Amino acid sequence: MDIVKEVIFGFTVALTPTNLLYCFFGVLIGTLIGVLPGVGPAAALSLLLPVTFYVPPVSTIILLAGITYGAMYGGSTTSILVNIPGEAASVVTCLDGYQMARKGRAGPALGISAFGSFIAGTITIFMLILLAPTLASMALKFGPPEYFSLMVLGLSIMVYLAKGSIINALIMVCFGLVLGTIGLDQMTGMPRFTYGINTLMDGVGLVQVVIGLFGVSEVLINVERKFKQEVFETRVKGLFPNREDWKKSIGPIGRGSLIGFFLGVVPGMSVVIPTFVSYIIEKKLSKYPEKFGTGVIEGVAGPEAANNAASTGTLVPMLSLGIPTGASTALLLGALMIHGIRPGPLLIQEAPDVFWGLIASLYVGNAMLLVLNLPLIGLWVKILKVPYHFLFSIILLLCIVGSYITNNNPYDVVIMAIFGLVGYLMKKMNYEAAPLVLSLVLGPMMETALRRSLVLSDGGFDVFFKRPISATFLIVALLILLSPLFLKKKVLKEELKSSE
Amino acid sequence: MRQNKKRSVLWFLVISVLFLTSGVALGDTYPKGPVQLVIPFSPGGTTDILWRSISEFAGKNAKATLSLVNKTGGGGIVGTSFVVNSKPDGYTLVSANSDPLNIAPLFTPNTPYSADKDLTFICKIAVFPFTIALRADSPIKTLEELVAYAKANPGKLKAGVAGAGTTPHLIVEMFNKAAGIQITPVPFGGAGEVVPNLLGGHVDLTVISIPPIKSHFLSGKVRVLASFSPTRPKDFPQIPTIGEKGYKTANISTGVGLAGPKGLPESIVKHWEQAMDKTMKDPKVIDIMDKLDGPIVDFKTGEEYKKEILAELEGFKPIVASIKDKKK
Repeated sequence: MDIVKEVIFGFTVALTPTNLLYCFFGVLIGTLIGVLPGVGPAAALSLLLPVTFYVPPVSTIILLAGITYGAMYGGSTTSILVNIPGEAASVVTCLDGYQMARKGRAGPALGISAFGSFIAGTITIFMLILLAPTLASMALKFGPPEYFSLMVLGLSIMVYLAKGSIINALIMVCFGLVLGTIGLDQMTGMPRFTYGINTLMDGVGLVQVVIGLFGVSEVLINVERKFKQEVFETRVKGLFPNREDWKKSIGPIGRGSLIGFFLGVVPGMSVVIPTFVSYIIEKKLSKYPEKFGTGVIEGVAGPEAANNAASTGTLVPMLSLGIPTGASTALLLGALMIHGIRPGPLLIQEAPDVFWGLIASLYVGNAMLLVLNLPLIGLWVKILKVPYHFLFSIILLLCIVGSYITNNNPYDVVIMAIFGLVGYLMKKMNYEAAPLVLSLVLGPMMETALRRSLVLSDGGFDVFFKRPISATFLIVALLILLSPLFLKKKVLKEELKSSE
Repeated sequence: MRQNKKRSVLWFLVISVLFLTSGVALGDTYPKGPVQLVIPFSPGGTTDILWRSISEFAGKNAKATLSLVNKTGGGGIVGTSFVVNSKPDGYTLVSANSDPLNIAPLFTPNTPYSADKDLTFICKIAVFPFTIALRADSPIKTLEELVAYAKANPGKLKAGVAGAGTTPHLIVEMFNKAAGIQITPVPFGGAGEVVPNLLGGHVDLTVISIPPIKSHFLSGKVRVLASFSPTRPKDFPQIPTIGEKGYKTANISTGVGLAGPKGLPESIVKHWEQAMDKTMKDPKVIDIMDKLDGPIVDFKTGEEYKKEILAELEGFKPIVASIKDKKK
């Protein structure tokens, strides 16, 4: 088969000593950047861009792509260890990953996220090879009405995120939607609810909200209960996932890979959303959904696979249509263009070595990341043995640096501090942060998709029902919302069982 | 192990600093330390990529270490106002893009600076030209046909633009006014979202910069009707400019230049003006700009650039007022 020949050609490109070295540097820098909260892969790519002038184009893209997916591996580390998401894509990993660490299972959590990412990377590379052209034309069918309906579907499954009270979760969803209206109105360019504060013009920063709600509030809560310190530092049980962990995780990893990849292909969908979707689906499928949020490994495996798969998925529109789906892919495009190579429909013919070399290097890089990350687990787990008064100071410092560095804006630290306080109060009163974060991501996307659709349809709401993809999403959303009515008996039984 | 990790972080920092400082020659006069160039947009944006591609050459010519810092937010207002409020000592400069200077203030009440009073313009280095493009299977083949169709069907044509209050958004409105037609601009979240919506047939046409559509133009999926630029872009010598077609007032592009806080000493302004002039004439830089094929070199002195920006600001005022009116 032709494809086999092409893939082998790709490996001959990726496995030359120079390219291997670039790949290694890429994934190494990516991992470090992923670990540091607030520093996204885009900042690193930007810094390295001038360097790539002196590097051949294939090596350039291998290096830069290594950084983007390396960051997905590193991002989970701080989520699991200290409850600060290294990247927005690792927010969901906090929910169960951090709880696992508190139970002395930081090792398996880190391990499964590394293996999960590797498996997801492997699966999605094959999907990229086989499906890229088909998927790219599918993605074009997504206009504003389709986005809107997809977001409605996303909102409708949000209640399943709730660990405790559904009412409280819904209040947080609304809070997130309201927060999402702050900033420049995307349709008119007018500032809304900014009260003349320039920092709020681009909205409340997601990174700052997340670091505040998860990291800072956790520190505040822990400062209160300083007497219980020893509980989770002494019992570190096993560094790697055991057989039972594997049995539980393999399904979530497979599903997470598919969800991540397909949602990643849709331009404009952030890497954040697939992780939430994966988490919710695993919770819904689980035999013990009530345990989610207390440290179940499925809640780490699925989303971690999903975020890695999504970062491969975003390469589909970039390589086949030349469309950047985010800052990182825009920089990849820029780097290639400086070398006179133009990603897009003609890439495979014009620069086969770039295309196939990149794909082969994705695989090589994923393998490297696994080898790189597994030995680090032992080291990371030791961090938990650092006395708390030191550890908390370091965490707080990381939070401050992370929230500053995203925009180099000191007022962002203030926003983080405010959300740290809000997060503390929320924890005290049993409100969860996850629904808030997801609705803060979904809200603005949904609003602009709705308004764009209505501009395009000259104000007619029928556009959402006339288009088949959009209509399907809406029907599924409706079924999900109505399902409790039909499933009431079963749910009641389950609830009785769990309360026993 | 821990030590190793620390060391690798350290190495990473050392190496990045080395890259940034390569080509430094400290003289005894003006640039005594690194010069901070604030990019008021996020990493990966067209302006960011442009500066990072040429910063090494600019630094060499100015005998300075140019350290690029992204201060993002508010369509460039946050970064620009940071520089406006810094000391005019020549160690803090800003990438002076036209949109935060002559568009954003019209949308944002209380913009904390005015292009007229609070900045010292050093020079203009380039423009980002825009084009008017539609799908190749569209029955509209020329700009004349587009205008005729739009006249017969007011409000029916929808044009995807990169965002509300961006240059392409205003171009659509300026073109509407110049041609006496009504094309509805639909703002998206960046050019990356516009292209799939154009290819997928969700919008009828787009006003967009060249890089995102070039490969689709070459592969025959997209038709370009005209360009909004002072001269025909090198990539599309066969495509007329909108000025040639008689719509001079709509001929607007985003400018990129260099500026500092007000009160910047004349000697420093000259220092950078000469350095940037030399940079933009460097064949290597011209080659890079060609390959990026978004920006076109358009060197002008600070005075000229300022006049241009203020003139555009006046031109945009009634357009923005009518956009605001429509929303009410």
